[in-house]
Amino acid sequence: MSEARNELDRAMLEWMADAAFKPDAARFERLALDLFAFQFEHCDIYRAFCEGRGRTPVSVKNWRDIPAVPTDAFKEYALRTFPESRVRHVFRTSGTTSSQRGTLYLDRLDLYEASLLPTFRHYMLPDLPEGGRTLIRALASDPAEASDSSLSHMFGVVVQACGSGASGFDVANGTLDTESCVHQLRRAIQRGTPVTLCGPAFAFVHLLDSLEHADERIALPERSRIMETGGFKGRSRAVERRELYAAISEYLGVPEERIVNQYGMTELGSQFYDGVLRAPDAPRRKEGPPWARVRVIDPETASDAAPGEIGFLVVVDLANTGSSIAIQTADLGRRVGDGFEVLGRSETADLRGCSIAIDSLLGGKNP
Amino acid sequence: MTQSAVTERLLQLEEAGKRLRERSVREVVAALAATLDAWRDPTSAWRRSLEAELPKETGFAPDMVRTGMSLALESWTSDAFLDLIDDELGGIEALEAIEGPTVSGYPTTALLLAGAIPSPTLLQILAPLVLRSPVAVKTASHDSVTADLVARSIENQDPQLGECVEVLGFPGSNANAINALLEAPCIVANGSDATIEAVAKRIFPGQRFIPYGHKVSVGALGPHAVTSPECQESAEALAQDVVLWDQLGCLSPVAVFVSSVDKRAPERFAEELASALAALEVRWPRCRVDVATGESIVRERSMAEMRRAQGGSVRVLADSGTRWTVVLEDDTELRAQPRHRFVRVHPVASESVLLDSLAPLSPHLSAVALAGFGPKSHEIARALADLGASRICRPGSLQAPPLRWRRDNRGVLTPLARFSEHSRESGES
Repeated sequence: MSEARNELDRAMLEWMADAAFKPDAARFERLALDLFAFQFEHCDIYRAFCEGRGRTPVSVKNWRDIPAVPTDAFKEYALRTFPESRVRHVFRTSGTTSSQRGTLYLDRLDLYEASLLPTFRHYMLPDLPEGGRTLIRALASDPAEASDSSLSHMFGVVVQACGSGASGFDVANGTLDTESCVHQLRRAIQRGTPVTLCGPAFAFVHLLDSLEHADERIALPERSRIMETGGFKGRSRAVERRELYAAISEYLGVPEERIVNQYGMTELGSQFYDGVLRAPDAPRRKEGPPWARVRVIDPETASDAAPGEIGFLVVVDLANTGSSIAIQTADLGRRVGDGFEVLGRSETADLRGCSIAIDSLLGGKNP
Repeated sequence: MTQSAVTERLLQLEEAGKRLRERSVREVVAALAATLDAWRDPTSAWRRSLEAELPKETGFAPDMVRTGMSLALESWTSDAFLDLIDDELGGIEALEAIEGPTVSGYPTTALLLAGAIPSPTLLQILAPLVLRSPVAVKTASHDSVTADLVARSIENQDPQLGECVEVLGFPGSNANAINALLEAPCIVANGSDATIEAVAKRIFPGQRFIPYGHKVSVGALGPHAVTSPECQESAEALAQDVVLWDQLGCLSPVAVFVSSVDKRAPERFAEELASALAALEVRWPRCRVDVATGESIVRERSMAEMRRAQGGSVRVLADSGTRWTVVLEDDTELRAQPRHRFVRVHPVASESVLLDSLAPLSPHLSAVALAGFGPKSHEIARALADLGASRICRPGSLQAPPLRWRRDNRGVLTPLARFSEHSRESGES
């Protein structure tokens, strides 16, 4: 690994270990520009992409000017700053509607984990004392079973670092074991142990369907919390988030103000969470670690959208030292206070004629 | 609108249809032809209202609506209308006949509109009336203007015929109203593949179902269309095909395939096309698009830049916003298409590569603007027709199909008709 990269990683690990978890604009700016310069030098395709836009480390003076690569690019190109021989781990997108899956190549996992863990603690376990442990159940596969799932990996790291003895995973061989999950939840109720129940939104739908089918309602202990993430694309049933939260409240007994939506993606080293557990009275909005920032971009001007206006999200994530610092997502959102709100993606963009996107005609090649 | 209200309207239409069928076909057809003539007249109240109202709902440039309608209706004359009846139904005589080959319509026809391009709406409302089948029209979510104007123009021409058109403006999410409308014996449905599929599931075996799903069109240029000065002419003509209706119609080209031994020809054409789109943006500014559409345009441009960064000879020619885009590709892969004036230009090494490239699009291919292949043109046109293209024409005329155009490879009137053979012998028995 180059000295420049080592230096960047050291700086990032230091920031991630800082318990203050406070924004630091100057630090962000300096590290962002350094990381951009490094990736410009060590990732040929990214350099050519930036040069095509006339952006170089010499011309870019502000982190907002760093060119963002679209998430689709991770499906077609190896966006990494190190040779293939140094790939240590690979995460892939779920690829529910696409034949191609986006791939994130990592040459080290410690930085990835050093980013996710304090963020999870900060937003999901703000009341857990330093060194404390709690019951965490994940409606996901054990990372040993799904090694290329970044979500499973995240849950694995969290369970290992913060989980108490009965913590674990409720998906085996790709199937949610609702019986085992409910059994674990009942045990927690008997013992009065708060549960942190995490998983993709569609897994919650399966769990809730199962409870509804059995006409069973369980009330998780006070201080329990839910973390749900992801959408429903390509899944058998899509459920409005409001409807999902109402069902969680009804069948699991967790009030809406203790349900947290996480916004993350395979291509990112950092994640964003609803701040409801830290600030229950504030408007629901996404927040993230100080080393990652989200911009809401107006496609017409390619600049930041006005406050409250809808745009698409660009994430500048300094945890992505080995891949790409700036990611242009296909998600729409808007600023809410000092955070942001994700509004999802418009599935059918403004059809006013009888034409249609070719990708739809060809069976959904693009997500 | 409630289910019972829709049912009530359908019953009223059925009664109006009975009264209509007591009149002579010739009289009805004459009234419809006169209505068409009124729409062809750019100074008519209907055209002026459309030009004033449609842009407010769609964001279409008013002058584009004016020009688009003039182009679309130019050949839709009364004579063409009568020719269509002759060609498809065997003439007015067949509609009036009581023995031999006879033709009739259904007691009612339900028409589900989609999109906001006016000329198909006009024709789809007039067509069932030729067969003296009253029509219940569910307006498109983006266009509540056109169907209403067409209905009023028919009523103005012939009040009794006007009673045979009912425009219903309920949203597509009103499942009860939709279900009631789908009780009609003949259903014409326009929409996305998902919409068509959803409607198809509710159709009973005895009903006539005529679906019009989404389609796309392309341009195919041979060597003679991309040399100077033809290159500029081809580009300007295709740019107009793209810009009209903001590339939202099934006749809007989404890609242009350029076949030439001159390796510079595709790039030269792409540059000319970009210039033409920029000029037309001044004349006919594109409608505002939602953020999702804007994002998809930005994303597709970025992905093209990535292909270039990977070593390809891809180029993105675009304005500073999202108003027009030309992507010069270096291969023939069909990629995502955000529309709203976004065109890909593909180089093709030969005519066979062109046809192979279009093959995956075959089930969804609408029309092809073809030029510059010299003596090979007929052979290529035939091959394109075999691929499913329902229209092959010169660049610049994609948006002006003749009245007889067999959209989606089917007739205008025949799908709505019931044909019967009444032999003299059976009549005597």
